[in-house]
Amino acid sequence: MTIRGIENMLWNKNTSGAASTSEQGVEFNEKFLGNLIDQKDNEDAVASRNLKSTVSVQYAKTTSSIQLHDSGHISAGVVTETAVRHISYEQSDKLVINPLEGYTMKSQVNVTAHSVYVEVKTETGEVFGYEVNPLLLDQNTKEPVEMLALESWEKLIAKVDKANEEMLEAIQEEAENSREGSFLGIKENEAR
Amino acid sequence: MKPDNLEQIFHKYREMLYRIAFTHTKNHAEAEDVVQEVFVKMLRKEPAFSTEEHEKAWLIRVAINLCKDLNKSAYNQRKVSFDAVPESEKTYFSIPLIQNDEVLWAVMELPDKYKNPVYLFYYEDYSIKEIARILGEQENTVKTHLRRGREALKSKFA
Repeated sequence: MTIRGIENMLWNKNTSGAASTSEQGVEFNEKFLGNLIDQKDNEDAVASRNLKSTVSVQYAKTTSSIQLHDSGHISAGVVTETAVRHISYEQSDKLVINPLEGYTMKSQVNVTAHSVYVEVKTETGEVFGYEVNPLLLDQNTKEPVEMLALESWEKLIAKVDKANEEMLEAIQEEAENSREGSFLGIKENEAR
Repeated sequence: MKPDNLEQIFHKYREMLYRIAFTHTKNHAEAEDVVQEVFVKMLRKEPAFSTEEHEKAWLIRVAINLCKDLNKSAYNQRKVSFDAVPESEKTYFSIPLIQNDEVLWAVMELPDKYKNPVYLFYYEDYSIKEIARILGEQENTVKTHLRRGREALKSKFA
């Protein structure tokens, strides 16, 4: 996809029926989000592209999208437009620099929120922010924003897994070879 | 300017200025000379900056002007294109988080009026507004140069 495609990739843009104030947004969220969480767990992310209609809610400068599928169930969007954070290269987990197509993309992963923030700067200097749910992404996606989000997520998760593995190994080693409390640097009698 | 302040500024901008200088000189030793000269100028002139952005813009502008002066000299006019720069020299150039690839080297081969905005926009992440201020050009001019620079790059890889 070209950068023009990215500019147009404002998935789930507000429809005329969207609530526009914070109050309306809260009311809308309360009404739908309870059911949404349960139903989202069961959804097939790839098939979710087949939408009957899309409704978005502007709330606290971010856009959370809610989609009504042909099957009748509701889900949160895989990619939603969000407020631009203006992250630097140093703050990014991954970068894509493409002077040939005229854009740069930066990503920042939030592991606990299961979310990847992707910032796109176009050749005209416009900057767009997207919040991506990597768990719902199509693994074979060809969309640049989705591909970057997926790569960033997998890269970080691999790091976290490796760190967990190393920690577990260290714990097992300590358990076999050392006394209790050694991790905390306390003496055996103090540990009791 | 207080010496400790200079040291702070030197460490903060040294690498970025070196990269900008290298894109012009394509030579490690000359790029280092340019960076040193920038800070010598700063010490001598003791310019007053209203903001950090102003300070950064001044340093980049001085570095680019010094590179232009250097490239006008008789010695540098005999210089070969980047393709002929030895690999050992290229190893001195690296941007944190960014992989050096043939596109980056092609950017360095662009004429100055395209190279400066393209390099600053994509590889140093400056906005069009900031680049316009640094280069002393209109924002629309920067946009045009970015577009033409990209077209030039595309034609090179076509």
